[in-house]
Amino acid sequence: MEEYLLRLAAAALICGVATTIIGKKSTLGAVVRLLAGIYLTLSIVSPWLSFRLNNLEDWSRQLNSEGERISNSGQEAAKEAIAESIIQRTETYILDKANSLGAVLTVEVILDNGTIPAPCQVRLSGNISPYAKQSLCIAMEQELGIPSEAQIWT
Amino acid sequence: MRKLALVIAILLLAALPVNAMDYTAPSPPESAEGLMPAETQSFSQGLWELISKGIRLMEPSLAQAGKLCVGLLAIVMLNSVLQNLPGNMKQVVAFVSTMAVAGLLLGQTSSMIHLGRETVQELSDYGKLLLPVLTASLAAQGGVTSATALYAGTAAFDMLLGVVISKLLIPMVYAAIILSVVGSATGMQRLNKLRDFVKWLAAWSLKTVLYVFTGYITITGVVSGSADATALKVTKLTLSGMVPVVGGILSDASEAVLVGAGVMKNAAGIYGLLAILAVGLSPFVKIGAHYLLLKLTAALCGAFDAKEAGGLIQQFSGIMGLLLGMTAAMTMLLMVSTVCFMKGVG
Repeated sequence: MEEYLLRLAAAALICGVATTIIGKKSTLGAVVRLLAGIYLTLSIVSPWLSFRLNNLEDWSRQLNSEGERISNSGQEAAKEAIAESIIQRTETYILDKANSLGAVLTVEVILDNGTIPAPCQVRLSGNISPYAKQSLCIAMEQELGIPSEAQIWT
Repeated sequence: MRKLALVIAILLLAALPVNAMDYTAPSPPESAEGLMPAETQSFSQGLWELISKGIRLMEPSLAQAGKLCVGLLAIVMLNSVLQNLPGNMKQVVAFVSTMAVAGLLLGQTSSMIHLGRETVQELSDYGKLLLPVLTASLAAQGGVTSATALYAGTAAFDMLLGVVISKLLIPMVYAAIILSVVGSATGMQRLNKLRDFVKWLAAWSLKTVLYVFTGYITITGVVSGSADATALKVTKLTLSGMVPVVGGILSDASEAVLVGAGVMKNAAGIYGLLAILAVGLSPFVKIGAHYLLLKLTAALCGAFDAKEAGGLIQQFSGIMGLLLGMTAAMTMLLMVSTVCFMKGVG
C-alpha cells in the first residue's frame, strides 16, 4: 500500500514538474502532457493491471472439495442419527409386542447399509413361551421385514 | 505476525469437523459481542434490538463527525472572510484553506478506511466460521447438492470480494483522496476527471461482484434445490413401498431427524444473520454519520462561496460513501448466502 501511494505521489510530482517546465503552448508541451497523462493513469490503475487470481481452477476445486467434505459430514451425521432412531423405535416396537405376549426380553436390532438403513437382523434373549415366540417371529417377519433366519435367539 | 496467527487459527477452526447433529452458529467477534441482541431466537425481535442499539450508537458518532464538520465550516468561513484581500492573496488563501480542509479530513478519513477494512476482514472471518455450520446442517436436512454448491460459491465470492477490497479498492480509495486533494489545491481538471474515473471503477467493481454473486446464487439455488427435492421425493417413494410397519418407523425416524436438522439450521441462520449485522452495525453507523454530515457540510459551504473547499468536502463524502458500499457489500453477501442456506431444500 505504502509503495503504491509513494509511486502515485512520485508520478504526480514528475508529471507536474515536467508539464510546468516544458510549458503548454509548444508541440513538445502537448506531447509531454499526453505522456504525463498516460503515465499518471497507468500509475493509478496499476493495482488493476497487476491483479492476478492465481491458480483459479485449483482454488475452485479446493473450495468444491471442501464443500463436499462438509456436506458429507452433515449427511453422515444425519444418517447416524436416523439409524439410532430406527434402532430405538424398532426395539421399542419388538419389546411392546413381546410384553403384550407376556414375555420380558432384551433386544438388539442390527441395520443394513442402505441409503436409509433398515433392520436386517435381531438378537433376542429372555424368557418366552413357545407360542409367544412363534407369534413374535411371525410379527417380526411380516411387519418389520426381518426374515426368521435373521432372528437370533440366545 | 499476529494477523498470520489469527488467520491460521481461523482456518484450523473452519477445518474442524462439525459435531454430529449439533449445529450452533459461532459467537461473533469480541468487537460485536456487546451489540448482539439478547433475543436471538426471533429475527424480527433481534433486528429491532439491533436497530435501537444502532440509534444509540448514532449519537457519539454524530458528535465525533460534528466536531470535524464544525472545524471544516470554520476554515471555510475564514476563507470566505479572507477572500477580499488584495492582489494574489485570494489564490493563496484558497490554496491554504483547501490544504487545511484536506488536513482535517485526511486524519478522520484514514481512521474510517482502517475501520472499514477491519470490518470487512472481521465479516469475512466470521463467514468462514458460519458457513461450515450452515452447510453441514443443510446437508443433514437432505440438501447435499445445494449445500456443496452454496458453500463453494459463497466461500469463493467471500474470498474474491475480500481480495478485491484489500488489493484494489482500498488503494483506489487512497488514490481518489490524493487526486481530490491535489485536484482541489491546483485546480487541475484532468486530475478531477481521473478521480471520478477511479471512484466509478471502484463502485463498478463492487456492483459487479455483487451482481455476479446474486446471479450465481439464484441459478445454483434453483438447479441444486430441485435436484435435492427430487432425491428426497425418491427416498419418500422408496419408503412408502416398504412393509407398512417398518416403512412407518423408517419414515418417522428420518422425518424427525430432517425436521430437527432444519430447526437447528434455522436457529443457526437467525443467530448468524444477527451476528453479521452486529459486526457491521458500529462501523456502518460511524462511517454513515461521517458520510451524512460531510454531505451536509459540503452543501453549507455553498453559502460561503468556497468552491474548492466545498468541492473537496463533497469528494470526501463520496469516499465515505464508497467505504459504506464496501462494508455493506460484504454484509449483503454473507446475509444473502445465509438466507439461501436457510431456505434449504425446495
